[in-house]
Amino acid sequence: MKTDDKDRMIYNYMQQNKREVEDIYFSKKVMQKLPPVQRSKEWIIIPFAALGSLLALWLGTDPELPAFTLQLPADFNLYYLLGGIAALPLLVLALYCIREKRIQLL
Amino acid sequence: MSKTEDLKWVSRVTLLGDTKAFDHLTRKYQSSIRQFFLNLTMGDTQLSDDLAQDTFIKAYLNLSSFQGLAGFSTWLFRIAYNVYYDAVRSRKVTADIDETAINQLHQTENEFSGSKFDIQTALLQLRNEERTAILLFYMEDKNHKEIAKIMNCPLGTIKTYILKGKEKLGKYLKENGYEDR
Repeated sequence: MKTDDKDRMIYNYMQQNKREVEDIYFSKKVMQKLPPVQRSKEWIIIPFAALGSLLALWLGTDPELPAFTLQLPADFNLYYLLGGIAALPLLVLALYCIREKRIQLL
Repeated sequence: MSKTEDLKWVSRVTLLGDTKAFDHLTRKYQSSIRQFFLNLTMGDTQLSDDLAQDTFIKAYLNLSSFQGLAGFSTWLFRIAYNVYYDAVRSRKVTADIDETAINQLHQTENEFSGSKFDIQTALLQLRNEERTAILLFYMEDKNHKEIAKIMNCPLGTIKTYILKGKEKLGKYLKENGYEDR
């Protein structure tokens, strides 16, 4: 807080000398010089660990599971479901690669 | 300048690797950082821009260490201050600006340019630390605590720098007939 006369005088003097410096390609030059940074992939661990834990909890404790499996259509093979779950990490990996432009679709 | 908005942009860079978000932050703060360096280097535009560029690159590389406890601006000024003092130590910048520096002033255009009210001439009355503290306090509107974080000094030391700087600058301006406009 600028309280006394001297404070106000210096504050006003400084504010009078404050100028907006025009960008003029400055930020563009900064962006061009940014080194590529390897982002941490650790975030993958948490959701998949959580997913795995939930799945294990569900499979291990749910007394309804046999009923669930019984409710499946007669021609439905349980391996399709397990295969689908197992394919999930691959799907996420593929999406990740597309996003990182390691795989070009077009 | 909203702290929350800055946090949003920072998290976009750190979590999604969104360089456009960093571009936004650079555009937002380039003026204050470059002006800060211009005043510290006595108006050397080229050197100021080099130091400002180093500051933003270092900020980008260390963005994941930004915890959001202080504002992004305070964190950025802390990097800028370190970049400046690294340059001083490596002799890129003259530590104690003497009379020869006055002759090399690359003055920025303003209503006082070249006059006794030119800000760089006025700032020459101060020691390096006092100059930094005064600039942050009066020009960037940082409070004592924020300046202490930026300069990594105890609060009492910052208060002393500002008090001494204020005395010297006030005396200089009064002696030279500066009237509050």
